Amino acid sequence: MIIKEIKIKNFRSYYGDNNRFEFSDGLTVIIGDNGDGKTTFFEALQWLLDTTKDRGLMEQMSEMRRSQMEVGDVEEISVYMKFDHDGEKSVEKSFTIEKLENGSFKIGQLVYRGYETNGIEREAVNGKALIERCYDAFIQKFSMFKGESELNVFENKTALKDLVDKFSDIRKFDELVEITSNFEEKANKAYLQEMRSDKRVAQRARELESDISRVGTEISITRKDIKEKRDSIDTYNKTLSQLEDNQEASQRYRDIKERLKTQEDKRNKLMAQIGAVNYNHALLDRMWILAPFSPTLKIFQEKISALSKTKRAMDREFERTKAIEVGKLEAAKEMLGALSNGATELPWYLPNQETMEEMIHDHICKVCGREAPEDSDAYAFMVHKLEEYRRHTEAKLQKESQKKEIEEQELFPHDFIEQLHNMSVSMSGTQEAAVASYAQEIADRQGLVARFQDDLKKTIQKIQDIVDEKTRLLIQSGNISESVLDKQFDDIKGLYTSHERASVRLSELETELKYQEKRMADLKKELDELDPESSQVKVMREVHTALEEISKAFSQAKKDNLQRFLLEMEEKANEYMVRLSANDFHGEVRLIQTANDSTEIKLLSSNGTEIKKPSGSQKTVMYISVLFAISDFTQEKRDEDYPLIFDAATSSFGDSKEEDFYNVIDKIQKQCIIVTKDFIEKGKLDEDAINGLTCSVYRIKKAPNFDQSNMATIRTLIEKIR
Amino acid sequence: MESLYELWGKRNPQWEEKYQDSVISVFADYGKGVNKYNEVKGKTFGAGYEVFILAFFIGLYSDQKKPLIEDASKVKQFGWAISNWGTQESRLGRTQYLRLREYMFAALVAKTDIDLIALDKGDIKPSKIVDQLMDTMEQYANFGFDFIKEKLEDDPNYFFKDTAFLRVFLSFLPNTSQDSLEEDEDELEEL
Repeated sequence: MIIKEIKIKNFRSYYGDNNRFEFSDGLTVIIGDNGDGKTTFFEALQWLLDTTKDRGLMEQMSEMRRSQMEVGDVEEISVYMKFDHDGEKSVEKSFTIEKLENGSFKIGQLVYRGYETNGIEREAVNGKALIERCYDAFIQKFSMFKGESELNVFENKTALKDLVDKFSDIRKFDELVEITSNFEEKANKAYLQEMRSDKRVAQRARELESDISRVGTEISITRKDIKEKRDSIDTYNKTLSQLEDNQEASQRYRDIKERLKTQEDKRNKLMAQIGAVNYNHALLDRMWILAPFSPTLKIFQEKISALSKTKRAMDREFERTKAIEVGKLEAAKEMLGALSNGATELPWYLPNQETMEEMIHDHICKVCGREAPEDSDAYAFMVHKLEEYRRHTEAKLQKESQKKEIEEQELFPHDFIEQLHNMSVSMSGTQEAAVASYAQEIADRQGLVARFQDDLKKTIQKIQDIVDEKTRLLIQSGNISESVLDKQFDDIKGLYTSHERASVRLSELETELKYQEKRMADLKKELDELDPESSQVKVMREVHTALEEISKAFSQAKKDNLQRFLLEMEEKANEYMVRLSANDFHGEVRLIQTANDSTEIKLLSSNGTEIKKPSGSQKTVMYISVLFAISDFTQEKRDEDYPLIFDAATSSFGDSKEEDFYNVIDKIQKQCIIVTKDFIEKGKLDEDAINGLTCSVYRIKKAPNFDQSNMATIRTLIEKIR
Repeated sequence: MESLYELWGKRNPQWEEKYQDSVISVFADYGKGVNKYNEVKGKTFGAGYEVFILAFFIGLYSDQKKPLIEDASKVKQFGWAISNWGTQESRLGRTQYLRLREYMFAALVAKTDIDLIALDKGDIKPSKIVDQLMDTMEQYANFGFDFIKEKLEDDPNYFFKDTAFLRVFLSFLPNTSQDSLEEDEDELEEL
């Protein structure tokens, strides 16, 4: 199939019905800048070929056209394609839109129109059927690619099977395999039937048959298990190899995260320690406000001490004065009188008052025994003596009272000074030292804080470094989020475990299978070696053996064919690879069959090492090579070609790679339509590069003078450059 | 008989009302009641008397007194006797500072010209002495308030820094290296 022409009418940015592309058999390049309508072109084609949708959508209409519609206007939206496929054919898909009175729009029915040229007659055919016949969804899958990410067709598990089914003659073998296997089964059945009826071996044959059937079941179960295990190991491998790209990053991320946490904890602790002392509160709570207090305390202590001394001195002086007065009082002794003959009198208290009063009463001196009548000298003497005595007693009493009075005199009735002195004493010693040490305590604390701050500065720097490291890591590992890195660490561990377990189980199953197969062979051998009585049995046995061999051969041939198919395709892909890569390193493509009969495209270095992380452009070249190879194949096998249509498939290419690529693809005999913004540099076409090509070139661009914010002013203009 | 310290403890010092808004309320929750939210409100201190204590020590260390305005209608008191000062600060991680009062009292005794001999002799009443002590206390604090107010007028953010008051008091120490303190200060600000 060769696309000849495409016309687009009022489809999004393609305004009006003058949008026409013509295509040659080889390469056609459609060049446009961002927003110029490249993808719209591609999607218009996709829309045309998509037979699954039965309704047109409002947004598919050109905004510019719609904005110009009057009430009652009916406008058509369509995409038309003319192509060669066993003669010239064309197909058009369209629908109408009508503007209604109330300003809304009515969308008409979707219509497919097909035309086929039959000899010279051009006849209308069902357009939808025509598309499905000539360019079905399967071919579309292998021929139309949007962006670089869609190029790996084998991402789709069934792609290989589809490909093989459609494009190779391996399918024909399916039938043969089935027929021969059928023959084999029938022959076996007949043979066993005979065995069972043979008198000599019937008993043993039955036993063996039952054993064989049982082991056969076991073998098929084991094979199924093995297939399942291989499948899952395949899946694990694939996922792991994807994850492994990030595994290192994931581990580093974990490490960074841990270090970050350690440093952040340290920072928080330091900040808490620095803020632990509120300097304002400490002035009061810790009495740091007393740091300069020592001189005041000293004044207080000295003042109180001096006062105390003064007071005590005053007190002592006062006491001394008192003592003198008391002394004086005591020293005022009475002089004893002398008696008539000059002898000293007895003290005044002798004899005592009682004795004297008795003698006076009795008128007799009871010392000398002489009588002393009243009015006698002796009597008068005694009376006088008694008076004297009384006087003395009174005087003594008076003196005692005077003395007491003096002694009771006090200079200081209060002891406020003593209280203060006690306070002062309590403030000396330890307390005094404490006050003196506040300044040091503050200095120590400030020194400590300075050290903490120093530490904190370093810690903050470390945190910044780790954060930078993390940022670098995230940049290096592409667009992977932190949570993915975090999670993948666990995923990888889990996957490794599962992979390991599955591998162990697989090897167990394989050993089991070997054993079961040996057992099967032994049983069959024994069955075959039974010596039946009937010769008919022997004939049947030989027939069965022959048919079994044939069945095996076909089954093997089917496998070989698939292998060969892949190998051939691989060879072709590598040829394209060499050509498309021009002077660049390219490696070798390998199509590796997987357990589930799918295939993986891998890039290998010539020494057999797998290139795990090919660059974007390497991948693109690799996939495009495979696509070309598939296209070649289909051409060979079905004797029909189909075009390859790429939208922005080469965005990862550098300038020189790009030039090489187009120069090569330009000369490949295959219809290829590439929609691209290559060849545009800063809005200008690279004329030199275009002149180097021999293919058709279209330039699409927005019509000038559009309003940057109004979509209704956008339309795509098509210019055929060559 | 009660000691002078006990008598003094029953007193309430007076201060000039003009410092209520210009100084006390700037640093304390005076007039709003002491509550657990004062940190949240960003006040440096809890009760108003804490600012009075700072002012007092500033006056004491500066050795400067300032008599209070004579107009009795322009002076106030906290209504919270000295003996209660420093007993409330057991919340918010604060600690009580009961002994600080003794040092304030000692300073007053040291710095006031009082005739304790006459007191002990009974020639003067204790209340007279306590009046004198209170007068000294109020005059020192009055000077301190004025000091803080002036600083605030020059630079409203002067006491914004965590170490500002500490620096004021350390400046009263002989041979304090203000430079090193200044450095610490800058580092703190950076964080």
